[in-house]
Amino acid sequence: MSNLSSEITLKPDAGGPQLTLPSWFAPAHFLGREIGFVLTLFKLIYRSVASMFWERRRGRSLVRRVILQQVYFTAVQSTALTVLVAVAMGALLMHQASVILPRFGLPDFAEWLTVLILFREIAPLTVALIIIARSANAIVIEIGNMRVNGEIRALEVLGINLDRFIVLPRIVGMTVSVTLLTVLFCAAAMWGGFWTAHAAGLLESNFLLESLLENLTLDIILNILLRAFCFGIVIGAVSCLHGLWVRVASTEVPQQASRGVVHSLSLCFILNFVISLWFFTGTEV
Amino acid sequence: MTAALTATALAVPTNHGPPFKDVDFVLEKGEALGVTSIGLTDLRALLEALAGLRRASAGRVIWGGLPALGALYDDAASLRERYRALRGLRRLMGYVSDTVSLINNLTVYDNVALPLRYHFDPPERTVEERTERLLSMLCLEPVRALRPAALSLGAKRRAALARALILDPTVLFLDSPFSDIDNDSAEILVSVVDHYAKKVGLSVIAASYDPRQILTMASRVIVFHGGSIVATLSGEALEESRFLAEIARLQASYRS
Repeated sequence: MSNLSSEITLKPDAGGPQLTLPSWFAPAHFLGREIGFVLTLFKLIYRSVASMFWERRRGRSLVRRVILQQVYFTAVQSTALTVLVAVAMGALLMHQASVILPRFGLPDFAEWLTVLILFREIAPLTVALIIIARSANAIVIEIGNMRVNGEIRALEVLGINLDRFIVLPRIVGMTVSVTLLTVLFCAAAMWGGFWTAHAAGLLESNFLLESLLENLTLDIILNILLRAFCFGIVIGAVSCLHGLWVRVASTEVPQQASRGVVHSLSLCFILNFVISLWFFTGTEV
Repeated sequence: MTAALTATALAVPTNHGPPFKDVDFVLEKGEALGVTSIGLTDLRALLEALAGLRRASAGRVIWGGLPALGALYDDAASLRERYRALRGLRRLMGYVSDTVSLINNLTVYDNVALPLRYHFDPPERTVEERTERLLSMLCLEPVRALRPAALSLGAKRRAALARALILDPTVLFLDSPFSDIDNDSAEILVSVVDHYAKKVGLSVIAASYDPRQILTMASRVIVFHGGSIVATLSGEALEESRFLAEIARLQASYRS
């Protein structure tokens, strides 16, 4: 008699043959599925970018309108939250850097480390987290409901290219929004954080705003923008993909929404890790 | 007369009921063809295959005036070729499904204007002119600023018809066009379709499980049973009592 706990069962399609595999196969199965997901994601991004060229004359004003709506819902409506989080995190990190590093005899590194950690590592990732929590979910639910209500089918019937009309504006809107919010986050964390911490008396006297600005080199700015750009594309594409994966039932919408959030988070953390590792080799201490 | 659409030895897989096989017919320009069935038949699958929305398992559909439809069914065709073929086909056809499916976050006006704006992106004055004309013909002016959720089923169906007609298609597919709608809406639908058939030679394929509904519009009716054509009725055979008697006779013979 087979031990069920040591086996996994694959169901390729409804009514299809069931394949029972040993439990050691589970991680490989999971990995294969995730690689398949990433490949599908790349395909979706390729198709929507290609539609920019192949279908460039189709519905330009409509696509532009959807992009602006997406930027409004994602960036403009998240401004207050982003500034609040940025000021709080900026003030806290500057306080800790200015107080703790001198204790270890490293007072000269306080501003440099603040720039490196706060702006390069934390800013794009925090903005990505805010966007995933606020907008990624919303996109999956919007597209999922369109699928359930037959609106996606109606668009296909009208000859409207979904990659151009549904996916592209959301990826572009998301990318623009994450990039704008990351720049806003950095500015708010830099000035807001500094002056808040300064006013609250949390900073040592030798911790200067000018030094922070001097340490914010072009390399770091490009690094921040690259991360924001990548996160925007990933969040937009993952959300659209999960929305389009809804088939017929409204119960699939929340399931896909939660999978979309998990996938967006995972991919953003992995991307952040890869980019950090890539740039770390070029960092001079 | 010239053919607007020709189906040759068409076989179509269905979601329920027997698959279609050996479907042969020619839809002439300006003709209104009714499609109905005896027993369980997935008429929507047939309409979708004719409209290029579902892949047929065998046979061909030839659209008049469309040379490059092959790319749609050719696995080796590039994505770009498929886009082009699909776009060409969709601009030739209008399709009103039984579920209507207007875009919920757009007003009736924007729903109707959507295909025109997407495919041609003309100046707003042109969009307004064409959209207003259709809204007026289909008595949708009072609800032009409303979202679909606020409309009755009859008004939704009229709005869907306006959206399907805005690109001046050559063939219009209607899936159960009169089910669950009021008599006024049904009359408006018939008069607008008639107007387009006479004015621009619009050909119509209307499918319904209720043969009585089809009769109000069609000049020829194809009857299916078990996925095959069992009768084609036209002319005097479409006189209501004769038509219904014939349908009843077919039902009785296939039941036995």
